[in-house]
Amino acid sequence: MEMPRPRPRHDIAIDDALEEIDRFWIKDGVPEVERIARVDELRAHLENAAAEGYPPEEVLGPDPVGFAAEWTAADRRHPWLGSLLLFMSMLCGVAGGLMLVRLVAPWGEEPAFPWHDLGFAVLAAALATGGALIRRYRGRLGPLRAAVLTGLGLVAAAAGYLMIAIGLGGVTAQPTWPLGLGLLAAGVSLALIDDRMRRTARTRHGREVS
Amino acid sequence: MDTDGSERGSRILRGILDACLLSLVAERDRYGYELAAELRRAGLGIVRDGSIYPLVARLERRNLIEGYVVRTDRGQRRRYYRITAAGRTELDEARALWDQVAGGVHAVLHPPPAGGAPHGDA
Repeated sequence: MEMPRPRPRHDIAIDDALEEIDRFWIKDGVPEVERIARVDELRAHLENAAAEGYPPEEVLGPDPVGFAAEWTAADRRHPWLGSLLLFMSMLCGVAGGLMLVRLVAPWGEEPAFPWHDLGFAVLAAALATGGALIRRYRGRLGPLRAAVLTGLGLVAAAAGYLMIAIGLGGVTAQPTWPLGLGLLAAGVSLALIDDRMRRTARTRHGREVS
Repeated sequence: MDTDGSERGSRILRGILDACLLSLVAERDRYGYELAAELRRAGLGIVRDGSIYPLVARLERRNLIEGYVVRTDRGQRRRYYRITAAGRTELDEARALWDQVAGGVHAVLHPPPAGGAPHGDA
């Protein structure tokens, strides 16, 4: 019986690197069509390079995920607007969702929309946006810059929390169906706009251009 | 080339590499690996192959090049890039700018042999 031949070392390294890169792109919200197109293109490149004796590290550098983050950053239109959209969509979506939950299944003594619900919404939005930003700038932020940005993010989140609380009438804001549904709809709409903006020149029609 | 030399080379190239890619694509449509191989052949091997992809993505986003997919004889999908009209204009401007900068840098780095004392107040 013929024994299966072991796979060349470069093949394994290519598979590992591409898997790591693809996992990053999935987490970073790169649309599937775009992701598949990029991985295909990269695989072909790495295989050609391996045939000429260049291992994947020479093509991608020592950090494949850093490479993936750099590619995404170059591909994305208006990255800061995207972050703002993500923050606002999470804020509106979570605040609206919590308001609707309170209307359907009220709990606690106060019927009003309390501060801590708004706090959840701000926290969720800040965490989602912060996570996305850290992923995007992975490898390009030193520890000091990351700490400064985290501090600024927390201050911005606290400011947003206060502004919205005051805008909604603070602790006395009454949860209402129109307000809850409106916030939820705004959150979903902003998320859809953010998703559209993630599409790139190569996949703007939802499929790869041939 | 030593590490310092290689880093300096990468830094110098960073600003002009997009024009090099535009120029290669202007010659004829090319795919990613071909672009990297051409750069190596031209002596720009200090550029890591992978670093061309973010640049190509940026050029595509700015509508200076556009990509299309071709199936090879072996059934593989290969993504080629071609230059657009806007890309040709950008390339002409980049070439003119490079000629100016390269001429200036060369004049400063290779001055004619000095003869005499420095100028100054007597």
